[in-house]
Amino acid sequence: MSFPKTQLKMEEQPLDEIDQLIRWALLDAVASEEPSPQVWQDIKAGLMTRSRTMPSQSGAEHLRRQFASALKAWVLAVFAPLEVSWDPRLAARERSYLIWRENLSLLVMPMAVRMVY
Amino acid sequence: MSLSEDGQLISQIRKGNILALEVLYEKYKGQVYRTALAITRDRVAAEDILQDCFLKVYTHVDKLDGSLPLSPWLYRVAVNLSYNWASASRRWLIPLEGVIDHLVAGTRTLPESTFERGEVQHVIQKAIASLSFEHRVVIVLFYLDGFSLNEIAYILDCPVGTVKSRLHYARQNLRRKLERDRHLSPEVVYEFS
Repeated sequence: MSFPKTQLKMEEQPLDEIDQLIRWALLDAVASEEPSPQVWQDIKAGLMTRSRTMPSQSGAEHLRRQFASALKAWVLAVFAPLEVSWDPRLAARERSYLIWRENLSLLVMPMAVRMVY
Repeated sequence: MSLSEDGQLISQIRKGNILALEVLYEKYKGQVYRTALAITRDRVAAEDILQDCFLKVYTHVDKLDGSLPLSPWLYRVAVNLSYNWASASRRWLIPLEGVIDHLVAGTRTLPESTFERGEVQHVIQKAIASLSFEHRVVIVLFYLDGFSLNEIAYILDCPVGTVKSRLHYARQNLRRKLERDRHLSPEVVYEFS
């Protein structure tokens, strides 16, 4: 007896001896296998760990948002006197201080933004 | 569309009900574990895959569609995890040559004696194990789990034609080995009933 040619359309043809042999071997190898009860215990432990880390993650997110909000307020506060610094009525020393502060803020801001995001 | 039993359990899990996850676990643990075991042939790996599968159910429960059956998604995750395991351990480098050469004479489709069963099973198992990961997964999903080609295509996230091709070459590979064994021993008669 020779084996028939390999089926090209598996779903349209009945399974042959090779198919039966493969199926039997696979089923026979794992049919009686069951996972140990420890697996579910490990899953539960994993879930507990995740639920414990979740609040801290959301806490970290909350802190980050608060920091971003404070940074935004600080940037607005720093740039608010931008027009004032060019006011000719200001004393030279006062104007110089405001310009110096603005330049420093411009320098620090990219680093701060990078830290937050 | 009304929710299936799985869908109801999924909506319970979304509310943080661990018992619902346990019901789902009890329902699918055997299938997922045995499939992972057939692919990896490693009990510890299969248990790890089962565990990761259900942790992913919990993690991604918001993305699951409760109106669809869960099992194809579970199998997809299990196969991906098996693939990761195989890639990490590179355990698919077993040479095919010589694996089936020990096939005993006079085997039938369903061997009856304990020795015969063990021997034939061992030989076929090794032959299947020697296939590439892609071929082996298709063989396991088709023969062990009884999925259709379309279902396997969904699980593997590839075209049906690819599944057909992999199944074709995997079977051809196994068939060639068995036929060669028969030619080597002309007196051997396969009594397939």
